[in-house]
Amino acid sequence: MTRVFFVAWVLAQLFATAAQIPVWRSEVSLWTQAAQHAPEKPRAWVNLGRALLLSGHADYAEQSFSRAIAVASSPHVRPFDREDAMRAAQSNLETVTVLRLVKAVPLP
Amino acid sequence: MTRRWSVVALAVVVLAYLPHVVVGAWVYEDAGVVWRATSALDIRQARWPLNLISQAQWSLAPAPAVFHAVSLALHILTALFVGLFAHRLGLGAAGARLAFVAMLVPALSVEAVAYAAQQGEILGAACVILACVLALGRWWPASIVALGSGLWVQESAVAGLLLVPWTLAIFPKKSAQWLLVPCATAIGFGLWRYGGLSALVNIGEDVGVTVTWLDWWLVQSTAAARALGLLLIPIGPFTVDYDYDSVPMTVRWLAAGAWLCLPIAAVCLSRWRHRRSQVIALGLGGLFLSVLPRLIVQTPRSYLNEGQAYLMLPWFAMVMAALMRKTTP
Repeated sequence: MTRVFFVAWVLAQLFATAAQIPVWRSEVSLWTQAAQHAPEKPRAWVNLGRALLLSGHADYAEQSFSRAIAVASSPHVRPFDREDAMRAAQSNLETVTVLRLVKAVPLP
Repeated sequence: MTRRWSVVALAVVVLAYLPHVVVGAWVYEDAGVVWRATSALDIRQARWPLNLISQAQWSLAPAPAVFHAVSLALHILTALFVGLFAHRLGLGAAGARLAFVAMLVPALSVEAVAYAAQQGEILGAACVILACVLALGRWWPASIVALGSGLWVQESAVAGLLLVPWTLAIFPKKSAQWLLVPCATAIGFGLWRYGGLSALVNIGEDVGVTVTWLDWWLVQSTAAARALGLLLIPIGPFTVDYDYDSVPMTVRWLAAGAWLCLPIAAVCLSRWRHRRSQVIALGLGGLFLSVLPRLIVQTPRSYLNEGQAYLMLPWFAMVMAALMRKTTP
């Protein structure tokens, strides 16, 4: 019985390991998982937004930063986490705006 | 557990990590790794050996692949040390293989192995386990070197100053009792260097970034209990940034209470003269002591994460090997 338990435990751990490794392959996959499992955590949305911005998805990044600002007002978010997230999200939203303006202006 | 199945488990783990080693990118705080690897070496910095190790890897190839491969190799090496530890504790060759596999496969190790910035955690854990192994043998003075090396590369290796004495408390070795002196001296020196216990405990705090000791104990106990739960049943969720702030206070108190049962169970089991009970006692106490420093030293911006829980794995592996031991011939 204990042998069966150990084999089952090893197999379960191997499956979980194989499933979790690909999450660490990129910033986008890492913070997508974090935001999925902690949707009320502003830091996860800020970091997902940054990852999306760096990978060229400004529209999705903007949505993530907006979501971070929305969840930052949750009562269980600690005051310093709220301030950090608000500051980071607003700063990155400005970056998104600037990038859009730069894209809109044609090169001479 | 036959040698063949241990090799199969090792091969599966290596194959699982291979794609990540090849194509995994820098993530999250890996910028710190790149900075360490490309900055001029300054031996006045506290953790300069870790910088040196990073620079050696960078010189092989300035890419995450090298760091990921080295982390995987270090994880396998740590698992070998755990197997050796189990053998030295009297679990035999089969018990050693059980402990090796139980250390190798947990999904909780993925953050430490797949994330270059956590390489120090694996190094620190390897040094701590090596120190415990050496403490039980003829070369016990070398345990000081192993422990010192661990402390030099990773601050979480400070748990080794508790784990080596704990190992000697459960499996006394008369000549090695002298190791208690350098361990106690190092703890005393650390307290003096950081300005006392209060200053050390609040070292991670800042203006507007504070937490009470009780709140910190409760949330970190919850994180440690979650890590132990993931070791037992890897259903998850596994995540780089778990939302402990949304965990209800009732659950935190329950987790803290459950976590305190570990040392109590360890002390009770250690009274039995039976070898298996003593190894289980060692493992349960080791689980508690491996993260005790993080339950005391407050870093409000950062809770115990899966990578930092890496040092729990060897002690869990000991418990598993001792529990499963009777299944082996």
